[in-house]
Amino acid sequence: MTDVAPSAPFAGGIAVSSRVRLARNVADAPFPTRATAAERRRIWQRLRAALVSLPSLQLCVARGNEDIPEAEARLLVEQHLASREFAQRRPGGGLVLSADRRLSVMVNEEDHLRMQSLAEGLALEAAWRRMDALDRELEERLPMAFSPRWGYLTACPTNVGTGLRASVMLHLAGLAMVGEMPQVVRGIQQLGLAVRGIWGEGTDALGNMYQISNQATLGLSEEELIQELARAVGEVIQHERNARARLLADHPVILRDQVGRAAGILGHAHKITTQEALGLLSTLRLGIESGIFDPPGGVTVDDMFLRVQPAHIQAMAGRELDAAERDVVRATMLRKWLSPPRRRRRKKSAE
Amino acid sequence: MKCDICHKAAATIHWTQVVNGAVRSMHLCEACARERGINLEDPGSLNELLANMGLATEAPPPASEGPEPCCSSCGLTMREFRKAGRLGCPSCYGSFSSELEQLFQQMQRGERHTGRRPPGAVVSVPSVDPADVQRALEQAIAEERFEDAARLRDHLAALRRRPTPPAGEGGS
Repeated sequence: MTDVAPSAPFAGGIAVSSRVRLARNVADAPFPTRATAAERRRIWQRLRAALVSLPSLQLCVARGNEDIPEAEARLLVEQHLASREFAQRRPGGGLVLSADRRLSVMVNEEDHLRMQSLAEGLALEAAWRRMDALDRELEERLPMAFSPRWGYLTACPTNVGTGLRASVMLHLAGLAMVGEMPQVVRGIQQLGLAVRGIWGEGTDALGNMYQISNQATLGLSEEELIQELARAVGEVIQHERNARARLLADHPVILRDQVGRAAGILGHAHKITTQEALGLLSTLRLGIESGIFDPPGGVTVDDMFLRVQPAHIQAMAGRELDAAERDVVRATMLRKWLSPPRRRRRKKSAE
Repeated sequence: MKCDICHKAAATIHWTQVVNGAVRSMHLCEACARERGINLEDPGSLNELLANMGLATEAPPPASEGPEPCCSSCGLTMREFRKAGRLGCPSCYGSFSSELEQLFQQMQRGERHTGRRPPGAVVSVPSVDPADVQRALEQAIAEERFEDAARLRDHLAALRRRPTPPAGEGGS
C-alpha cells in the first residue's frame, strides 16, 4: 500500500495539486467520537464492504488502521493520504486507497467517511468529478445522514451541508521572496477562504507551500464553492507569476545568487533539518521553474519535498532514526541527488 | 503577542476570519490550541473554535430552567457539544437546532443547504420522528441489513417511550 517512493501528485508549476474532500456519515449510527470501539469496528466492516464493491474503487486496498504499522501511518500523513488524527489509530479506523492513490477514504476519523480526490496541478473540476462519482456510487448502497434543511450531517458543524472542502496547493516562492505574502494572505481571507502553510505549524509556511481552501460548506452548492475557490486561486497564481517576472527582470543577480546558494548547501551539506531542506528546495524549485537552474536527473524536486520529510527518511533508511541521524541521512540523499553525473576518472598520464 | 486563552505563552497560531464584513481574529499558543481539540491541519476546526467562543459569550446556557438540553438519541449534552465542538450523532442536529442555526449564521454562507441531495426519496434519517425511523427500519429489513434494523428498532422503541418533542423546536 505504501512504498517509500512517493507518487506525489506534483507536476511542476505554481499550482502543485488540487484536492476535494467530502465528509459523510451513515444515517443510523453515532458519529465516530461518540461511538464505542465495537460500534466503530462494525461501521468499518460495513463501509469497507460497500467501498471495495464500488466501480470507482475497483482497484483498491482496504486496511484497518490497527493493521497499519505506526511508521507507515506517519508516511501516509506526510503524503496527505491520511490525517494525523487518523494516524493515532483509534480502534475501528480504516483506510481505502485506490491503486493510483488519487482516491482515498478514511473511515471513522472525525466522520464515518472522509473521502478525498487528488489531482495534479490546478484541476479542481477533475478532482471534483471523480469525487462526486465515488460519492454517488456509495450513496446508492448506503443511506447517508442527510437533512433537507442542512444537507449532509457531519460531526463538526463547520462541515455540514455539502461536506465539501476543496483546496489547491500553491508554491508561492516568488511572492515570499518579494515579501508580499502577508498582503496575499489577507486578501484571501477577506474572500472568506482559508490559507495555511502545508508543512510546519504556526505562521511559517515551510517550503513556501500554501494551501488555499473554502471555509464555508453550507449555503452554496458544491459547484459554487469550487468555482469561487478556483477564481481566487487563479488570481493568486497571477500575482505569483508577476512576482517571479519582477524578480527576473529587476533583480536577476539576487535571484540567481539565492538559487545558487540553495543548490550549494543542498549539494554539499552533511547534516540538514527538514525545515532547512524545505526552504532551500523551495528556492531551488523557483530556480528550476524560472529556467535558471537545470533540474537534477532522477527524482523531481517535487518528489524531494516529500522525501526529505522525517517518516520518508526513516522509511528509506529502513529503521528508526533519531533526529540527528535523520539529518545526516537527509543530507546524504540530497548530496547524491545534486551531484553532477560522475565523469570518468582522469587517466594518470605518464608524461 | 500572548495567547488569547492562557495569556501566558506566545501565540503562534493566528487566525483571521471575515464573515459578512466583520473581522474576527484569534491568537493562540500551540498548547491551548491542542487542549481545545483544534486540529491544526484542518482550518475548519479553528473556525469552529471561534464560533464556539462566540456562542459561549452570546448565549450562555440557561442556568435554572430544568435539566440541561441533550440529544434525544445519543444523549450528548449541550455542554459536551460546546466543549468539544463535535456533535454525537445525526439526531443532534434536530436536538440542538436553534443553537446550530445561530452557529451557521456566524460561520457559514447561509442557513440552508443548496447543494446536491441524495438520490430518490431518502429520508432525513437523523429525524426524531418515529415515522422516519420506521421507514428507515423497513428499508434496512428489505435490504437485509439486519444489524442496522436491530439498531433502528431499538431507536424506534426508545423514541416511542419518550414524550414527543414539540414540533417547532427553538422557541420554548
